[in-house]
Amino acid sequence: MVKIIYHCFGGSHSSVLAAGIHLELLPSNRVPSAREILDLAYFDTQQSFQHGQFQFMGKDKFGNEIYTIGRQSLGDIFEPMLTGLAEILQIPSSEFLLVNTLPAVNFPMKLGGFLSRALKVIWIGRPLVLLGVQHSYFKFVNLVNSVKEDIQDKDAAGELSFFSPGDARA
Amino acid sequence: MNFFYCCGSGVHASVIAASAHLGILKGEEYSKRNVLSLPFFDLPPSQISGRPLFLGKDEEGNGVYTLPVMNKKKICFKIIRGFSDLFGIPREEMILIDCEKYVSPLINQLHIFRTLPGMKSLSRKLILILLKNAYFKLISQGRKARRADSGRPFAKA
Repeated sequence: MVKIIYHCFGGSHSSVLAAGIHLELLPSNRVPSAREILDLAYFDTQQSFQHGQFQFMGKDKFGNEIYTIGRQSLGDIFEPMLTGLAEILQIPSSEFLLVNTLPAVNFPMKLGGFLSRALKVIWIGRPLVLLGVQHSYFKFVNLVNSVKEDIQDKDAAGELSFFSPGDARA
Repeated sequence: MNFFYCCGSGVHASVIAASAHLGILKGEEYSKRNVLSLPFFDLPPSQISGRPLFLGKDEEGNGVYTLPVMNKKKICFKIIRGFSDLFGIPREEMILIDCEKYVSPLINQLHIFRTLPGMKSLSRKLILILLKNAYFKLISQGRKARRADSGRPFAKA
């Protein structure tokens, strides 16, 4: 069983979306409606004080635990920091996987996310995010599929710990 | 138990405090030469990945590390605590020590400034000036940590 941690800036949009796809709460074969996306737990709800909290999203059909987290602008150091700590604390690298979802984020999602979460201008921010999500939806599907393949490939070898976003065929 | 000394860059204030913990710095008068000779001190930003840097083990066998928190110590501490909780690691296993509170956040800007051509020397001089003011506080922090009883964390996230 692996703990899969999807991380992005605010833990409110791209990571939650990827987790939703992973848990099959959202379809992989079509673009979901705005309602379906908004029904996803935690989507566009995070407040800045919640950044840094691991949110449990559910278990996938293989029993892997799916988490999301907003790690603000710690992008470059987030994964090395946690993998380094895991080594020191003797947490096997095969027990967790860190997945950066930001590479799949487009401009409308960034702008909409900023307006909705940081400035609280939800009436314009949220539709923009939804537009961006629907436009780039299959990038997220590809990212999640790559993660699932990665787990299957590396599980036996015990080589998990972080998933390079460049590996995603987005 | 492991001690993580945290500062913005992970190679300045935290290195001084961690060195005091390990007894590398004895708390004598501030000396530029002593500080510059500390392991990892003022390592270039390109060589800092975010991984904890291992400085050594103290007399009781506890690991002593430094960790860069990039002026985001609050969220870093939260993430680290959350991550260890996910795996059921007891909090006493990991002591996070905030060294950033003693020094100016300008140190991080100066550290990045050194990457500009010809600025390495000036950046280092200014960093040393800023660290000098906090030197004895950092030394005292490191010594305090060494004296802390095992299993009783004195520094909390």
